[in-house]
Amino acid sequence: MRKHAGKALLALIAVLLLAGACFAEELYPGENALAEAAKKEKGINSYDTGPTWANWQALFDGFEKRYGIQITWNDLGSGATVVRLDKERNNPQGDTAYYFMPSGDAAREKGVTEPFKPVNFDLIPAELKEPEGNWFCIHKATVVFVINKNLVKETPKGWQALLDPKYSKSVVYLDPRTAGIGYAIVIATTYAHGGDLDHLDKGIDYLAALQKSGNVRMIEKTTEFDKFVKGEIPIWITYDMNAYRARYIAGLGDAIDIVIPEEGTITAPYAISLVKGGPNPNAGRLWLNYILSSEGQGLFAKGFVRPILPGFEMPSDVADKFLPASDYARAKDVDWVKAQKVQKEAATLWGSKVLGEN
Amino acid sequence: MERRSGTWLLLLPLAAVLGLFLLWPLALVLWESLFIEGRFSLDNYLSLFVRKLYRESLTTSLVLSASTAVLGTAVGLPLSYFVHKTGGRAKSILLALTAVPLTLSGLVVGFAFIVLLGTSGFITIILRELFGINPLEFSAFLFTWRGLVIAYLYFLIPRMILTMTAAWSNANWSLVEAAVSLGAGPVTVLRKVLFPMLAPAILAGSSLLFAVSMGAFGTAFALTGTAVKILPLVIYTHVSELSADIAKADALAIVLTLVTTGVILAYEKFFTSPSSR
Repeated sequence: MRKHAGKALLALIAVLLLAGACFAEELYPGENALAEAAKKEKGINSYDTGPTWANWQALFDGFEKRYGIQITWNDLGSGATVVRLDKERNNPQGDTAYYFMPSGDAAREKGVTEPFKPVNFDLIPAELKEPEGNWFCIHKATVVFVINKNLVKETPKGWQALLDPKYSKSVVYLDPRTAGIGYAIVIATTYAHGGDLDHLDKGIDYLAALQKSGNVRMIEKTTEFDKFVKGEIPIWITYDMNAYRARYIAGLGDAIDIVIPEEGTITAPYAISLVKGGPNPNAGRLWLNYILSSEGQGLFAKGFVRPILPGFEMPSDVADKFLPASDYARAKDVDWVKAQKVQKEAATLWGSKVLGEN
Repeated sequence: MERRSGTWLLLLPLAAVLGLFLLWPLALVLWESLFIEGRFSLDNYLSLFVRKLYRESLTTSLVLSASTAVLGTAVGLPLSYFVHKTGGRAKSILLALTAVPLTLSGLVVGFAFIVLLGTSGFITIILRELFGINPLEFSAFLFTWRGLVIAYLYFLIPRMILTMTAAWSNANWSLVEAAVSLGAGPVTVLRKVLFPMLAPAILAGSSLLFAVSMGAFGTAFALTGTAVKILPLVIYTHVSELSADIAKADALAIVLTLVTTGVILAYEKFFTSPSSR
């Protein structure tokens, strides 16, 4: 008898869920049909979407709540993600791949991406998507300094100030050869020193001088958010979204300063692709649609991550917490497709000039 | 004959595991390292002698591993004697505790040292309160190869203790007693009896320490950034950066394997007497 009761209960739940799915308003036309197809697959493997980066955890939660589909993620770094896709080309394991935009174009060149145009694809600015949909940007982030005031008495205002001996063994940033943010920092320092994508040596020379001054504490590969929150990093060059996350979500509040360098900085776009021949193609499409839906973009905004869709209204309680727009006026946009073409050269140059590797 | 073939049958599972998970991957790595853009070439290996980065990382790895092997042996040897001497219940408790660091992942060890000796580390803060040291300057050493020596010792000393405790138990103490009753002083006993008796175990233990620190990755990954050039981290950079060079990483992995295996084989060949095998 008990067994039957259990079955009846299950059936009831199933009917209710089905009814819920039918009656819930669709985020976009065709959502329910795609969701049904996706539910027959085995979850989603979402490459390089580490949960503490770009508020991904909130998007995972939102997606799982809406569709009941489990997301498996890893946290490789943009460069490593492209390598992984290339290594797995005969037996793809990932469904979607997220990276710094230039890496998206590198993945397309290697032929490991599948063209797909998600909802709101037409609204993404032309320079921030590949016309066929091999990659498209989903959010942006600006390179800033985050200062732990317990460790640093006087907050540096710009790149030049970082060279001051009083910041001995204080500066931490990520390796430009493995992480998108590292390369974004090379470009930011280049523009701040009057260079451009044809003259990246301006930024690399600056980073070499910074290294030589002894002010670089270490060049990180990973886990820098946790290290900063634990009080291990005095001056952290990173994205604004990480800075606001440390201040408002990790609760460091006024113990940290967030600075947009006075000589200027850049805003970097992040892209995502459907992986060619991935194991769960419908679930992958459903996930990409969700990320670009108003709900997904809104979840980025809630985590201080700038949505890609133009004119997307930031919630006022979030917008008020950002630094003033006058500060953000110093953040430039860059030709990111060109940036991809000179990345390899820049990475080698950085290795030889900054670390003395040759 | 029949018994012999039976033994071979029993060895099959082990052979299969070794073949599948050690020899086959190694062969693949070796094969991949011999090609550049599809053409056969030894350049991946030749560049190891030319590029400063590779020479430097090999040297740093060797210096790091030699330092940890020497220090780990120097500290582990007397400790293992104490553990052996305790005897009884206390000894088994001590041995169980000694094994704990071996069960921790390298990443955990790395972060444990950050919590202790980092900028806001427990010990760093005590030292700042007591002696007014600058926490930034003090903790900076933790992120260099010298910091790695300290962190590695945490999981290497227990290895030495475990290897040596067994050796102390197997040692023939009547020989020592005989030497003493024949009038040998402590120095003579140590030099002529104890050391020759324990040398194989000490050497086996220290070569194990050397090999483990040559290949350790997690702790180094958690603690140090890119600026510390040791072979495992250089290999990581080669497979994870955008301009990835897998074949070069393969060549480095082969070199790392050769150095580590070479050291262990050399120890066995030169220092272990045939009778003790």
